[in-house]
Amino acid sequence: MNDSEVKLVHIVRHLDWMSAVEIAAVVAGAWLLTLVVRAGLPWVADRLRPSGRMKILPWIPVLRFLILLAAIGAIVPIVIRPTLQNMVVIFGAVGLAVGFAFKDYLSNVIGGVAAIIERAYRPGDWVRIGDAYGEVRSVGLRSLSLVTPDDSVVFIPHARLWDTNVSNANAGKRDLMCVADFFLHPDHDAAAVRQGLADVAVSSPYVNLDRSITIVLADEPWGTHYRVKAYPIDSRYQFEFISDLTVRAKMVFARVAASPVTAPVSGGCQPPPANGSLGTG
Amino acid sequence: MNRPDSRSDTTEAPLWHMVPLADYQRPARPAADAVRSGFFGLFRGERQRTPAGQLVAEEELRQPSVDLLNMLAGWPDWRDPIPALEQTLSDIASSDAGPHRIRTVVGAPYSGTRETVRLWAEQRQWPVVAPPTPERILAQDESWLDAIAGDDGPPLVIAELEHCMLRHPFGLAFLRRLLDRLRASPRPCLIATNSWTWAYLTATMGLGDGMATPVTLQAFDADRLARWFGQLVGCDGPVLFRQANDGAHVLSSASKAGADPADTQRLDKRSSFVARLAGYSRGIAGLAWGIWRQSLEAALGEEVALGQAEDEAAAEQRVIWVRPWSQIHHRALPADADLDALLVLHALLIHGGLAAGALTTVLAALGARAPAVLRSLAAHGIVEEHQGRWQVTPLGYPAAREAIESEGLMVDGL
Repeated sequence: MNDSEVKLVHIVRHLDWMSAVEIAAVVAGAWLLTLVVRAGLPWVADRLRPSGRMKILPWIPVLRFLILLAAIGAIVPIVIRPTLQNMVVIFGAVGLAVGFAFKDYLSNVIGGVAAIIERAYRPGDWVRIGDAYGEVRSVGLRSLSLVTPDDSVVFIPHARLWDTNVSNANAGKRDLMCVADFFLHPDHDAAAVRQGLADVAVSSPYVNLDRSITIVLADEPWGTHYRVKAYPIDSRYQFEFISDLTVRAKMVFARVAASPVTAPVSGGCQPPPANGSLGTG
Repeated sequence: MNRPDSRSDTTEAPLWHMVPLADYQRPARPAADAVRSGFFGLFRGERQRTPAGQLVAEEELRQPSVDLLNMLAGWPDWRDPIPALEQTLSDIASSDAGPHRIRTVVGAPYSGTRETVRLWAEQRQWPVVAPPTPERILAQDESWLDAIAGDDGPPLVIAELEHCMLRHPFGLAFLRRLLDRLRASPRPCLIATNSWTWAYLTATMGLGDGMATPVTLQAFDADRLARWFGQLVGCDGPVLFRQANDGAHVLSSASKAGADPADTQRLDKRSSFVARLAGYSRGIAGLAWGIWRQSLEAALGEEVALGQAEDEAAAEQRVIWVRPWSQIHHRALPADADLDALLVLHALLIHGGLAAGALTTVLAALGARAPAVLRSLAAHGIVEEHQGRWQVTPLGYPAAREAIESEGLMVDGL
């Protein structure tokens, strides 16, 4: 037996079938716990009052990360003799090997840890990352999953955190600001329209009356741009809220004889953005 | 009839009294109820209650007939609170121009406020404004506004402000015009409004601005509630209300009805039923009364004894059993009640009831789903149609309010 073989024997324990069973038990336990956290907590959160839901969901990625750390912490002493020297040698070697082999994966894992620490996104948040906008459903080790308003699931690697802006509309809160845009021909009674839009906002059944409601208008070269800024009672109802505002606003416009501007379908004119954009709250 | 006059009793605080809205004090819920409600309240849906033991066998108890119920817990006479109203608002007719010219009375649903104001106005022969139809509100009918305007005359009474508006852009514009006219007129005005409407309108259009401090009927605490229930007993001779599981006395009505003083000692052992009822019903008279009627049970043969004449020997047998609080079936929202159901309930409460057509107008976002939601809620006893309007039932109100509050929708302050 040469020197290096002797050192390795000193570092690694003799693995018998009992050790294998212990490792399997730890892995199985961690896997089961992760399943419970991943499936159980959302189940509980869906049965809680809405305010409680937002308190439960952010704990899912944190708990999963802690389970992973605990599992590693339990397995390592089974495999190696847990002296400081051995730990440094093993983690150094493994880190080097894994770092080369799974560089991108590790980058995502570290990005996920950074997201947990910085609270860049948590389950229940409405975020925009690149072109994707939706509700964060889960935050895994490698990626997060968003559910878009069209019910598509988008998986985004955590590594995007390093080079992309993350726009979080509610940041752990229950509600978020919605902005409904309206574009009217400039020839109208602006005071009547503004009062009407204020009534539109406060009469919507989805509006959160505890939050401020603001009507902003500005004259543009193509007409008058109105923005109704208000909060729905829950971020999940943002699209129903904006739709309801739009339906009610159209009734008001008809009553006060204010006509919306329309963009030509073809030609060089740039059409204004569609009604109902979302802002950050 | 052994019904005492609430006004003649000088030794006890009056049953009905009005207070500024800010001084309204809901009776506290017993700690056990609050803890139980807090824990189970975290979760949605119905929950089962554990039945307690029973002193009187279940099979011996019967739901009383309507006649007997009317004898034991007759319909509230909403003229009773009039003295309290008169004492607080006596100067309304002589109010000169100023903020006190428009007086507001706010009442929780089923508190009897609307009825009392209307009866008082009729007594005084003051004109009570008939609310406009939803169609006239949406059309912003100037003729209705012109008809009620007038600078001279006795105080104008709007007994149901909630029926003079719609939570709709045109409905709010209409109400704004109405309020502008009332504020501009030197004529005194008395406005009674539902506490939900008040909360909504103060949050959205500053309803209280330029008006006198609103007043409301004070909530019933356990003692006043017990006295009131005692007064509602309409049969001759003493009636004992005892809890069916342990025999504890629920009201001290026997002492009021002239029972043997020795009974007073026994009556000291009161059940916590009325305290829990007061807390659960938030001290709202009509709600508490509805649950009280629901909880009464008569033993076999008791109905006959009560209906018969004044046989003193039978007095001891005049016992009405009260279902223990833990066995009262409180109405709950359907397990599948979603946001649509809560929006319907919210709209009904803010408007003090709505016709189906008006509900669809107010909740345009629900579209054709609204009738199905109404049917589902009606099947669970949460809403009912009354005189063409859908409204939240008194027994369904606590569950509806709790669900609305837990969803984060605006609630009333009472």
